[in-house]
Amino acid sequence: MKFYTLTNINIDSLKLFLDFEFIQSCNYGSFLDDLIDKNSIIYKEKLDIVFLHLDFEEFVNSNIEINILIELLHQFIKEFKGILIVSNFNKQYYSIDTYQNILIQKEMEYNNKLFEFSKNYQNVVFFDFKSVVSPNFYTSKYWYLGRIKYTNECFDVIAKEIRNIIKAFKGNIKKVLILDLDNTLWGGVIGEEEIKLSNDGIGKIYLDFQKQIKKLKDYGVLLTINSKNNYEDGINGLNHSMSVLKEDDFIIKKINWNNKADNIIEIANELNVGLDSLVFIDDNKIEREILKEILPQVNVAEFPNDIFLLNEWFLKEVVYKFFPKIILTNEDSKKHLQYKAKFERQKLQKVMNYEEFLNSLNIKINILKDDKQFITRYAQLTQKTNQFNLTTKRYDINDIENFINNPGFVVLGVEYEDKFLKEGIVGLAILKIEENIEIDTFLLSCRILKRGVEDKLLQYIEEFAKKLNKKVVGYYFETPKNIQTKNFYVEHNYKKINQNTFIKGENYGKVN
Amino acid sequence: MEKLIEVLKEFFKVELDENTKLGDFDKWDSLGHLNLFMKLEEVYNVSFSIDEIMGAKTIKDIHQLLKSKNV
Repeated sequence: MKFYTLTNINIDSLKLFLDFEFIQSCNYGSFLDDLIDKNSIIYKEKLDIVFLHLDFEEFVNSNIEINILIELLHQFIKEFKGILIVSNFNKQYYSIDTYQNILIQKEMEYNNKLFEFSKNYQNVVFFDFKSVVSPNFYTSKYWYLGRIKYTNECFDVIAKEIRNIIKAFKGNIKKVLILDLDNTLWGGVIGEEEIKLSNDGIGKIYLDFQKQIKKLKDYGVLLTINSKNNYEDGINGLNHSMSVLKEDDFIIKKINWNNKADNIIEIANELNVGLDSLVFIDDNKIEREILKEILPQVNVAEFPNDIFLLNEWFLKEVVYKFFPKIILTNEDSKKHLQYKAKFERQKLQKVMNYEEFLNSLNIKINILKDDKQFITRYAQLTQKTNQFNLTTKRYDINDIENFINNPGFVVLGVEYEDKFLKEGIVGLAILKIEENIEIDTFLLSCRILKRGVEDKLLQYIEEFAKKLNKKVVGYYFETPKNIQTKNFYVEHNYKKINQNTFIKGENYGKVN
Repeated sequence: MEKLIEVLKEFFKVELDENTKLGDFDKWDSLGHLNLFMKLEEVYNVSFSIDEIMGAKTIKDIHQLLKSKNV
């Protein structure tokens, strides 16, 4: 794996902590040159990972404009196929600068900009360095000896997070969490004593643990149980009034007195997944050791000795280690659900014809007229939508607000929901009311294409025009990305007036 | 001496013996040398001066140095 650092301090020591092929930078101050020069290593070499890590104090002293850096990053990422990891800045607490407040403000501004940049790309990961920093990350002794600003401990943490990030992209993603019950999902032994699961004391540790597991499930991780209990007892535990995890949350429940390894093999077979995509959590060390011995492919998470560390351990050693994709990539939870829902839809789509499929979706479309609560979303749609966007006019929040306030314009938002998911606002039309109704903007998010939403929206506009006795004029401006909508108006029986203009209105209203 | 060799092996993740010295392999370059001393300070809970760090170039030297600090 080819690894390159873009940095303004010496972090070459990372090579002691990461087993990558380090492509040497010319010198550690050259990050800007690398970004500017299109013949530099980052543009020419096929790198797998570029790690951007800038020291705040050095950056401020170098007087580089943050906006220039961001612009260069945008330019670079458009051509870069690997993974770019972007660390945020960390201002050191103690400093003698007179303008402390200005520095604090700068740090926030810089970090916001880096974050905003990172969010836009699937192959960019934001590394929240600032949040992992601890006071013993910095060393002044080795700074003066060899310009090493960080201690081994710091490099160790950075390396670990980089490994997690790479695993999130390249690794074999774990799919299934296998959980024990007693002293794992709750304190104590069910059927023998009152179990600890509550909102205070030790019980809260388990309650919080269950909440975290539930979150993983919401992200698409499959939950299963592998526990030595009487079946009824185990189910009783899950039916406990405080239990966050319910029977239905588990796709398979092996609550019996069988050997745990046998149960795990059955789980893998029933779910049709490899043993290496399973993660096993059990408080009992003997069970863990036996399992490691018999089924070394299964990922066995070491359980913390100190139960107070349970939740911290779970995040660090289970979630970030085995399920990093969820946390670290730009696929947010909602999107995850959307993809999952899309997957379900495709499955349905296969067994039915398209018409039947659409009917089965129970699509609900709601058109909102001049509704101010979605101004931000509307502006975002005009900024981001490229494919199903007939005029590709970009507007900001103020523009949208002006359209809504102006009686000469109508702003229509489309809200979409089907049996799988509430997608929210997915489409937008902006109408200019003059002699005709002119469709200034007509766009739809790609997620809901081919569901008849565009027909409904256009129909709404036509009915609106009919009431006002006006004709509808549509525009199409070609861009490299919206070719698929080229014949939209023609397909909807509009007459082409010229290259960009289409009109409909013979059937109703007065023609001027 | 054994323990010291173990510490170095684990740190650099390479095979080595008491005669191995600074510059013998890629990771033990002048930069790695500093990281190594950071590690030694942490493991043995001692502090080294600049001269000590720059002067100890073989594992034997390091062993001597640690001895002089009653480790």
